[in-house]
Amino acid sequence: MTEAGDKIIEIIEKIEKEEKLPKGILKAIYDEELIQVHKDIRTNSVEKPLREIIVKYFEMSNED
Amino acid sequence: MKIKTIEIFNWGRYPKATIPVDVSEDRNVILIRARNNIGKTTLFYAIKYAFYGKKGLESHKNQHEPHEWINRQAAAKGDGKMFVELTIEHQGKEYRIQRGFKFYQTNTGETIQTDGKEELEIFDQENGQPLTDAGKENTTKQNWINSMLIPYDVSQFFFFDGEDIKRYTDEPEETVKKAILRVLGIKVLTNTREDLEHTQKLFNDLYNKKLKEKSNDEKTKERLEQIQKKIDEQKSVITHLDGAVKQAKQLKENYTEQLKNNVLAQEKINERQRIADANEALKKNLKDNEEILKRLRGVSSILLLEPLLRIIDKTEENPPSKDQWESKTAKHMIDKNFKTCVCGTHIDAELKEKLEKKVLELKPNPQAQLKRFVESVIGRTLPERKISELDHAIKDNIRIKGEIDTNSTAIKRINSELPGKGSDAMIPLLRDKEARAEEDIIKYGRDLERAKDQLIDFEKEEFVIKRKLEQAIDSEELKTAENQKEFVQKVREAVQKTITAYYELRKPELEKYVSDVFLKLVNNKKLYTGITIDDEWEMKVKYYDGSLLPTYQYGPSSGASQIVATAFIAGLNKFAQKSGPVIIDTPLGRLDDIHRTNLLEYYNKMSEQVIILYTPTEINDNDQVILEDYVMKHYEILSYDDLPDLARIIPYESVIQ
Repeated sequence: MTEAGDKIIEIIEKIEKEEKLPKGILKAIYDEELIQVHKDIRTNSVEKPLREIIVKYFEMSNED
Repeated sequence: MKIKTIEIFNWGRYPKATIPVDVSEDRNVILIRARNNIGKTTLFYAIKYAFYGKKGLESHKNQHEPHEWINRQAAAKGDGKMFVELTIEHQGKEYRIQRGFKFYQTNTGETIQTDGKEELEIFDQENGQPLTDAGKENTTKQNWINSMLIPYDVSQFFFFDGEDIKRYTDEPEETVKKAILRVLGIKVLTNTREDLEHTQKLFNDLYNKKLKEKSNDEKTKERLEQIQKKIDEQKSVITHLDGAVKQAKQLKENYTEQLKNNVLAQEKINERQRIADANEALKKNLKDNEEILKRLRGVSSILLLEPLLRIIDKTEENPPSKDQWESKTAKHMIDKNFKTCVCGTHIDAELKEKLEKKVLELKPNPQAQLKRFVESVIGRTLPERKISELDHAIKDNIRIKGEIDTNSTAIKRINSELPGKGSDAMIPLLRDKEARAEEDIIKYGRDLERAKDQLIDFEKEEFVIKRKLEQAIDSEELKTAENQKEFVQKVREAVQKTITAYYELRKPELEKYVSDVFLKLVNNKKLYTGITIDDEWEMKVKYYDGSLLPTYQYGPSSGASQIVATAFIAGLNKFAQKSGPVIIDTPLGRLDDIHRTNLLEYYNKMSEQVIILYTPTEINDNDQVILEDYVMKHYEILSYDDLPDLARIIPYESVIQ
């Protein structure tokens, strides 16, 4: 990741904290989307991973 | 990502070439020098082809197909293979990308035939094996290149023609805007926002399903279904109206543009009419002038004789003309017994005596007769005046004809600019269409607002119905589904805040960086204070007095635009999510010496690896001194002595080696 990419992660982590979201959720979603963004045609292949991330971090937030 | 070696085989003019281009932290520039038409741009496109295949060739003027790059001499000799191979280093690991085609023997002049199956391999250099992460198909391998290295549409900011980049200073095209969003990482965030909207819908549907499963209140469930159906229908209506508003706005924009063109055309038509009227007046003047010339032709004999008449008139007689005239006048007055002289004096005896002395014995003299005749002709015809009149008339004739020609040319030019535009009927028609499009915008806009208000009402009703159902149910499953729904909503809002935060924090930083680079590169630093970038990614130059100009107006020359575009690309590279080499073909084109020096001093800062393909007129020996401390390797492309169609790359012995 470049310095610029790191800055985006910084912003993401800052917003995570401000919005009191479970640590890492936005980054996990972002990383998943990063893989998809370079494809010529976007498919709905990100749907399942996104749902799984949401469910996983939701359960983590409940445990906290 | 850095390129360590470029290898080309039967590509363009190159039968075979291997070019080490690895750089160090301190010496990060590779120079490759070549005169025009030797193989510089061929090498540039070889690199693009290796990364992106046929897509990498799209920006070339003529050759968009890989088979057009196969070395003709090799194909004429027999079947063979063409490929380009790049050895790269990425995140501490080394890979080799090889792409090419098999070709069949083809006579010179014919289209080279290939086997139609492009071979793309990505090797992990650690074990020399094909990289499993990239998959087996060319599409998955290309996806690996796009996601891990530099995506194709972003590559325009890394691999570019120094003169071509000035197009970024114009209003950016949609494709360029999208590439900018992608290179900065904003596209990922906006995609995330869209996908989470869809995910939220899934969780909403899940919650609704659970709600219906757990409730026994059939009547309320039915009401819920009905209201949800209305909500879905209302959302469709809103989507349709939204589309209608956008379409009406687009139409209005088109009509406004056409109207502008037609109004401009009408102005040209008015101008043309004015010129045509002026020409009519000139033609009338020409006719009058020709009448004058005709009349003067009637006295052409006098005009031709005028020089002779003048000579005769000026010739002195013997006795002089004056004495002869006085003798005749005195004799006439004496013979007629004048009481008063022609001068008004009373003729007394004394004056009579004087007059008698003036009378001479004049014999008939042909010369004198001729002179009298000439004096009479000159007195009657005034040839000098006629000569002057003729001279004016001829000059006027030439002038008027010249003006008529000029006007006719102007009319022709206007006509060529006007085909299909500007008829009197078009403008009112377009105004009418524009007005109707505006009415549609207002109408659909109002309907859209009403539909949105209606949706809010439906959603409120849905909320009340759901609450009623929920209150009657005690279910952990339902509570979980509801909490998940709200959780997704929260995540969505956080993503939106991330996008907003990016624009508020990073975009000003990008703008400042681009401004700083621009001020380093520009030749008149006191005139400018920087560059602004608006939300549509259009750039403007800031002047010392605070005024802003679109960049294409700041410097309509390609040199000035190149400076702005280079600053912008430097900013995009700095703020890009991906790192990669910057490869520039023809870096300094038509720049003046100050701009060239400033750019040369800056290039090594653009990336951790910079490869510059230049012609000797762009970077001379003095310029190379500027780059002295940064150049790792310097090459030259030459043709073979005995085979001028083929190219080779050799180390270049220069001032800075």
